[in-house]
Amino acid sequence: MKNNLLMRFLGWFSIGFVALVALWFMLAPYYNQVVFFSANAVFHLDDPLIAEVDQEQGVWLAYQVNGSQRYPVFEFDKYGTFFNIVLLLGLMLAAPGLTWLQKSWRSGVALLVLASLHTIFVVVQIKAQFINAGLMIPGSAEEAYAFNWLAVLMGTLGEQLLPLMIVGLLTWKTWLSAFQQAATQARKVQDATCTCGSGKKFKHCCGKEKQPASLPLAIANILKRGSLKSGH
Amino acid sequence: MNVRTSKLSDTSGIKIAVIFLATIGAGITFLLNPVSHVVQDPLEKFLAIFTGTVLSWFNSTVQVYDSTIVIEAFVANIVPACTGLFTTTIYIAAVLAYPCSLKRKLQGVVFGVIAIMLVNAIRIISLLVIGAYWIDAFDFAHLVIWQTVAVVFAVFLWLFWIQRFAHEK
Repeated sequence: MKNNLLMRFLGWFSIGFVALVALWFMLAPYYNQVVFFSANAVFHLDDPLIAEVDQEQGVWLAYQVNGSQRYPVFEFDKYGTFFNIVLLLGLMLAAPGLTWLQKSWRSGVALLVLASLHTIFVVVQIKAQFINAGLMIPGSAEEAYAFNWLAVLMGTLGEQLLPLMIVGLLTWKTWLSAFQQAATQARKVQDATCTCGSGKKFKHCCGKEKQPASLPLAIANILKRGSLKSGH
Repeated sequence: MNVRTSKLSDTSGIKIAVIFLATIGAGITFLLNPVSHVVQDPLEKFLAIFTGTVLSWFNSTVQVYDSTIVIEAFVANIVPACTGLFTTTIYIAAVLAYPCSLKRKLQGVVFGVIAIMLVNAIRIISLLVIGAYWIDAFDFAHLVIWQTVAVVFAVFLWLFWIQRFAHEK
């Protein structure tokens, strides 16, 4: 029982992961289209237009635009570009204490945030590559360094960290309340009369010898310590 | 009463967030700096030798050159992103940000880093096998499956550490 929350998290994530990977194959092309379309909208704010993203035979390419001519500069990964959407939605599905409706709208919000970040990533990645190839002149050396740094950051640590942070921000309260609920249940068991017939509380009888630290109790203790420190 | 308690909780939340983000920031600054090659280069070579040795027990064609592994006709180069250090950074930041004693945090870091490195070695071995025998599935396994599994493993490890070790006396 003590592993309930962890096991439920793993179980739901695994189910979600398998389903989302299958769905991802079908929906990724549409998602890519939205992100690359948004990135193009950002590039069209530049005057003159120097970069554009377009699809050719199923492959997304970044083009250098020069008047009415355009030249392919690099192509995006077939799988790698936006795979972390699976991680984001899987974690959202595994969040405890949320109804399906709540999970749905929160997933929608999370997806919008991630799509915006993906758009920024595409813009930054293209600008960094163009600057490195001498196709774009940065305003300053610092600007060139910033684009490169941001591109590497978003393409490495960001791939894993951003979904975690988005889900963390949207679900930390429900995680805490699930921990508290589980802790209350665990305490009820501890304070109940022992089933051996001694008349003592379980925690002072059969439960005395081994009381493994449980995640809900650990979190609840922290919350309790917080209240005690405030003088109540 | 509730107001004061929630104020205190908010402060704790801010402290946790600050420690987490500061550790991530320090980790990123280190990993993206050329100085990090002091750690990354030996780790890449170690991973190549370790995974190459394990695979050579089952396949006699395995050869290791520096941080490059050759198995059958498949050639793989261990690069900084393969070392698991980015996932490790997230895990370490989460452990350090969690409110418990320094001793438990250090234990959590050591225990977690070893576990993540082991899983990363398994990841590389499995990817090498997939690359050698099912090259069509390589990109998918590399970029979709293992990236997700690695980070979920780190989250699970962190929760497990809280449950099992963080509050032991």
